[in-house]
Order: sequence, then C-alpha cells, then structure tokens
Amino acid sequence: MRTLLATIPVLVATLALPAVAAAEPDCMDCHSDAVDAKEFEASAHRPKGEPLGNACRACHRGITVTDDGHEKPAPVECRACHKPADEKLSRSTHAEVGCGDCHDEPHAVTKLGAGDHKAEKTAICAKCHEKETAEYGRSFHGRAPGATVATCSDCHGSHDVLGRSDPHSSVYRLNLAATCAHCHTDGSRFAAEEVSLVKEYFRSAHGIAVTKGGLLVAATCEDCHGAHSITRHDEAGSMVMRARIPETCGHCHVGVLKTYMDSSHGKPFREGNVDVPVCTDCHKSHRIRSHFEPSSSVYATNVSPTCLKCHADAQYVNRYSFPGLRGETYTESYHGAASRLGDPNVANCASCHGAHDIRPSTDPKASTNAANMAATCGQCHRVDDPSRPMAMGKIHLTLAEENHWLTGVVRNVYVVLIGGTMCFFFFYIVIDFRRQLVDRRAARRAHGTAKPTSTAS
Amino acid sequence: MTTILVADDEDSILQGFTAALGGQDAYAVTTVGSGEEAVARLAAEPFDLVFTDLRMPGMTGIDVIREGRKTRPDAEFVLMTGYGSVGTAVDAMKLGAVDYVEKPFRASELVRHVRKAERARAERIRRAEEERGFVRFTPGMRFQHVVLMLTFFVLTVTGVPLMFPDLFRGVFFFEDSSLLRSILHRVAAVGLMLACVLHVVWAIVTDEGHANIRAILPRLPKDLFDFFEDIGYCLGLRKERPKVGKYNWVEKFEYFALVWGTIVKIVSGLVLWFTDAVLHVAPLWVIDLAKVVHRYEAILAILSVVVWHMYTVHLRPGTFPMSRVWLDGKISREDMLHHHPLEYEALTGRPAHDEHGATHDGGAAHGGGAAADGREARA
Repeated sequence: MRTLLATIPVLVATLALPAVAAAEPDCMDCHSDAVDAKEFEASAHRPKGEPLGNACRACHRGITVTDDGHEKPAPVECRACHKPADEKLSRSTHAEVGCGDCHDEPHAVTKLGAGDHKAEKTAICAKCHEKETAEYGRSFHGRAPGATVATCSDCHGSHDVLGRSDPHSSVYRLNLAATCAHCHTDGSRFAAEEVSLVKEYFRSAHGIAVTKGGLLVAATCEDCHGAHSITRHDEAGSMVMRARIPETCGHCHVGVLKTYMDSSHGKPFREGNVDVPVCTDCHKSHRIRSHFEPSSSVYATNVSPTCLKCHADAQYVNRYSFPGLRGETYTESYHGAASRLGDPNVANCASCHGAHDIRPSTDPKASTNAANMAATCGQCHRVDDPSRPMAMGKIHLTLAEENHWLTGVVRNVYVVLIGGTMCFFFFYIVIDFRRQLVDRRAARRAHGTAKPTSTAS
Repeated sequence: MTTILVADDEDSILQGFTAALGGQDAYAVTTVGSGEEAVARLAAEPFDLVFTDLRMPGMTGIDVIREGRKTRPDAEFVLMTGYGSVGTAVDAMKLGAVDYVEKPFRASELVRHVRKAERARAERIRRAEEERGFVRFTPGMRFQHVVLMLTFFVLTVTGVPLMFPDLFRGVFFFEDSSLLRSILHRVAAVGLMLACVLHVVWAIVTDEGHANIRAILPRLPKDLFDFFEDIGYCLGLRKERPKVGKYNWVEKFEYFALVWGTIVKIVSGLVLWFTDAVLHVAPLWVIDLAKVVHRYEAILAILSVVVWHMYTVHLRPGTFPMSRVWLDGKISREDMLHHHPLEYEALTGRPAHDEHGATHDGGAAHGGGAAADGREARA
C-alpha cells in the first residue's frame, strides 16, 4: 500500500511535467558544469520532447526549488525504469554490484548498435575479472573478429549471472554443453559438419552421462577445450591438438593414460611421434561411445576396422615395417569373417593384443608373447582340464606361411576338383540339352506323320 | 514267351494246339482234359492265356473262367464253343473272357486268336502300367530326401554368409542374428547327421534299402561304358542311349558324391564345432585344414546341387519344370521304358519296348512286327 501511495506523486509529477516545466527553473542554470550538455543530449537517458533543462527530473526526482536552491535530492533509483534488469541482478551473484559498476556514466550512456563491440563488453567485466578476460583475449573467441563471436555475457549471462557451482548457472557443469551448443548448433553460423559433430556429443558416452545421468565428473566442453582460454585443435598449445590429446583425456582417465604411455603406441608418443594413435583415433572425440554400443568405433565388431585404418594403410605399413598382412589374414580367418558378419563374441584385434596395454609380442608382458598365448587364447578356448596343453602355431596365416603344407595341397586339390567338376557339368549339360531337344523334335515329327497313316488304314 | 493253358475234353483239339504252337519258342502250351484239372493247374502256376472248351463233363468253360479269374486275374481267357452257342459265348465275355473261338477251327485261325488274346493282354497290362506308373522312391526314401533337402538348404543359407561376410553383414537383419546363424547351422547339421544314421539303418535293415543300395552300387565296366556311350549318344556318335537299370551313371555319381561330401562335411564340421577340445588334443593345423576342407567342400556341394541336380531334376528338357518323383515317388511308364529299361524288364519280365514306335530304345524290330500283326488282324 505504501509503495502504491508513493507512486502517486511520481505519476502526478509526470503528468504535470509540461505544466510545471514552465514554472520550474532550468536545472542547467545552476548545473551546467556538472553535466556535459552535449553528451547528455546524445544519451539514451535523455527523455524525448522535453526541454533539456527539465529532463534531469526524470531521474532526479522530488526536487522542489525555492529561492534558496533545493534540498539534496533522493538517490537516483535505476530500478524505477529498469525493473526487470534490477530484479535479475538482485538474484544474481552480482547482487551487491551496483548498476554503475558495470555501466558507463549515466548521463553519457548510449545504446550499443550493430557491430563488433567485444572490446567494450569485455572491458566492463575486466574491471573485476582481469585474469579471465585476459585469457579470453588470447582465446579463439577473443581473437576472432565479428559481432557474433561469444563474449562474456553469451556464456555467463548479464544481469542474471550466476556462479558456476549454481545449478541454475548457464556455465554449471551440467548446463555448459547446452550453453555452448546454443551457438555451435546454429546452422547459420557453422558448417553442417561442425554442427553435426557438436550434436554428436549429446549422444556420446560423455554427453549422455552429463545430460541424462547428471554426472558432474563426465567430460563436458570445457574439460577438453578449455573455457576462457579455448583454442582450435590446429592451434599450437591447444588442449585438443594431437600432441596434447592423451594429456587432456588423461586428466580424468589417469589409469588408462598410464597404461597407454607404456604401450606400443604410447612409448613412441612420448618420444614425440604423432603418427601413433592417440585416444581420439580409436575412440573418436565427440562421437565417443561406450564399447558396449554397436555404433561405437570400439564395439567388438568395429575394433578391427578401427585398427586397420592404420595397420592396413600402406603408408604406415611401409614406414614402420608392420609384419605382413596382419589385417588381411585376420579378416580372412574364421574370427574375421564371423566378426564381419556381426558376431561380437569372436576374437577381434583387442581380444588377443589388448587395447591400451598393447605391446610387441617380444615383450614378456605382451598378451601375444609366446609364453602368454595359451592364457590369451584360453580366455575363449577353454577346456575343463587346464593341465592339457593347447595346440600352438601361427595365427595370422598367409598362403605362404601355413602351419602345415597339407593345408595348401588340399586347397589346390579342391580348386582343381571344383574347376574340373564344373567344366564337366557344363560340358555334359550343353551336349545333353542339345540332344534332348533334337530327340524331342524328332519324336514330335515321327508322331505327327505316324498319326494320319494309322487313321487312314 | 507266352504260356498257354488249353482245357478241352476232346483230344483232337488239344493236339491241334500242340501242333499249331508247340513247335514255336514263343509259346509254351500246357493241355488238360477237364475243367477241374484246368482250375487246379491255374491255382498251381500262372498262365498268360487260357483257352477253355465250353462243354465239358463236370466243370464247364464258364466255370473255368469264373474260378480262373479269381486266382489269376492277370490271365486272358478265351472260350471255345461249338456252332450255335453264341449266346453262351456272350455270357463268357461278360465274365471277362477276351474272345471266343468257334469250333472247329483251322491252325491259322487258332494262331490268329492266340495273337489277338496276346495283344489284348499286352494292351491291358500297358493300360494298367500307364495308370499306376512305377514306384521309384518309397515313402521312406522320400522322407530321407526331404530331410536332406531341408538340412542342406538351412546349412547353405546359414553357412554361405561366412564366405561373404561383408555381403551378409547382419544376415537376418536384427541384432545377435550372427548367434542365430550359428545355432541354426548346428541344428541343421545335427539333422543331417541323424538323416545319415537313418539312411545307414534303412540300408541295412529294410528290404527296400537292400534293393536300392544293390541297384546303386557301381557295376564295372558297365557303368563306365554307359558313361562313354551316353556322352557318345549326346554328341551324335551313337544311335542309342545305353540301357540302364534303376540308377544310371548320373544318379550313381550323384549318390556317391553326396555320400563322400557328407562324410567330409561332418568330420570337418565337428572339428570346427568342438574347436576347444580339438585345440587340446591335436596340432593347430588340423583346425586350419578343417576350415579349408569345410569351405571348399561346401563350394563343391552347393555348385553341384545348383548346377547339376537342378539341371537333372528341373531344367532338363522332358523333366522341366520339375520331376515329381520326390513328391509322389512315381515314375510314368513312358519314363520307365525310356530311362530305366533294364529295371522295367527285371520288374515285369517283359521286354522294355515302346508300342508307340519310338526308335531310340532298341524296340524297333519288335515294334515293326506288332504293326504288321495289327494290319493282319484288321483285314
């Protein structure tokens, strides 16, 4: 009730303004040195259709001028006009921050038109958040020109800014991906493939854990890309540049990183070789999925195609002298054929060689070391009596390197037998078919001529 | 040879028969002096033709026909009557006699009547054979064939994808279909093995099994000659197809190829099925070998069925669109005479020749004779 009553004089004053204006003295008569008339004239706060001298009263209210001047006016209430912003601000983490802390001298305030105002915007935040804005300035967002590149408020909000640990914050871990996706799934700003890549995140193991599972520790955008310091993968020093991927993933996957670094792939990586696969080569980045999902690049039936991307690539085979035809021999084997058919239970590359812990067979710790082969094969090929030894021999069989000469002989015998049999079949079918047709034609002719004679007699 | 029983109380008639036919190799004449004797003789042994006098002391010719047809329905009966008994002759025809002869008759007339009765008998047998056909596959054999066909089909459909995995990825278009594939393959394999056991038991235990196995065993050198003669015939180098029994060289070849292939498939398949056990008792190359054998034997078997079996039982002119033997087990008289003349002769005791005058079955000379007889009969 009191607030309602309080608004009455304001309303009256507003309505009566033109009439009062004539009677009231011009503020500029006394305060011409306090306000730059030109700036105020151009400001967004300059009420339209009002003599400049009286416009002050729109904000500086309750002034009654007597011959002795006037009492000190009540403090200006921005809230009187900017109520929604004020309400947001009062709920935000900036509740204690005044309007003026961010916004310019109120008599000079102008509306920001279209165009790149990144510098102006970030300068406001930089007043308090110096370190973050400095990082931002060096980031891809910070350096990229254009009005549409994200600035502080695009991610954090403006009047409604909340701390990152607040579940309602746009940069809360469970909300961050949606905040980034707001721009990064916009087809008018990004190429279709980039948009689809970002969308893939939401179907990935990480994305599902975050958005569906509400798992705070699952990776979201900033964990791999950084936040204020975000850089592109092709920029030196980026968290997602090839040479830093293991480190970036290993930030969470500590155990896997340790295993990887000691493996056939990880050792050369440590020596600076970037040909070796890093995490994303096998697992993908935004498309990363659980190995239980058939669409995953590391699902049982997809493991061998994933490995063969490099291990059947002539470029790498030649450069590193991979032992011959490991891909083809697997693909042609029963394991390979059944796997290609979609059987997830047969052995794939990782079943025998391991995944993160892959090692050369000369390494005594390798699952493919001769001493460990029985145990490795025995994972699937078990018999009840463990004391019975298991047959040993070459696994990746080529035609030239078979375990026994008989296999090759039998194969050749069959090739000749099948070829010969088919040749004979076709030969006999052709001559028999022709003869059958000849016989039938002859029989019809004989039947046709015999009939009239027999009826005549 | 035609066997003839003559019953008459007049010796002169009996002697007339013996005189007219007894000297010819084509006829075996038996004479009896009374109706009772004739009936007793018929009960003891079969005759092709029976000539009986009407009026005899004791049993009459009518009685002989009535009783004789009960014991020997396949025989043809001819009534011999004196002048003026035409009405009785008509009665005899109603009872099933094929003809009647008026006494007295000349030798040439007698021969004509005998030939007429022979033709009537041949015609009746031909009609019966045409109507009934011949049994080629017993129900037991058809059952074995159907089991074999089904298991072979399932084994092929579930096995071939392993040869072309990329082409058949997700064979049955749902998740874990690869598991279903391997289960179905093993189920069909067990079915095939049971069919093999059944076949062996059938071959050992049943009479039809004995007969068919005996018929399909290779006969050398005949089967080898048959093979070359058949090729020669197809190429126009020979005038006739070889005369064969129940199974020709094609069928024998198919059967033994199937037996061999099935044994090879079962042995190699079991090695691959029980890999874990084999890995612990045999060297690794045994499994490699089983894989090679199982795969190549499959290619051979599937191509043989698709190319060879489909030709012989479906696409071959004369058989197209399908031989029905696997359904009703029967073969027509015409096919029997054309394709299995020796079996026909063994079954019926009659020469396998085609009365319609086809010239490629070796019946030309005999057929010509029959046609001459026909003209004489009509004249």
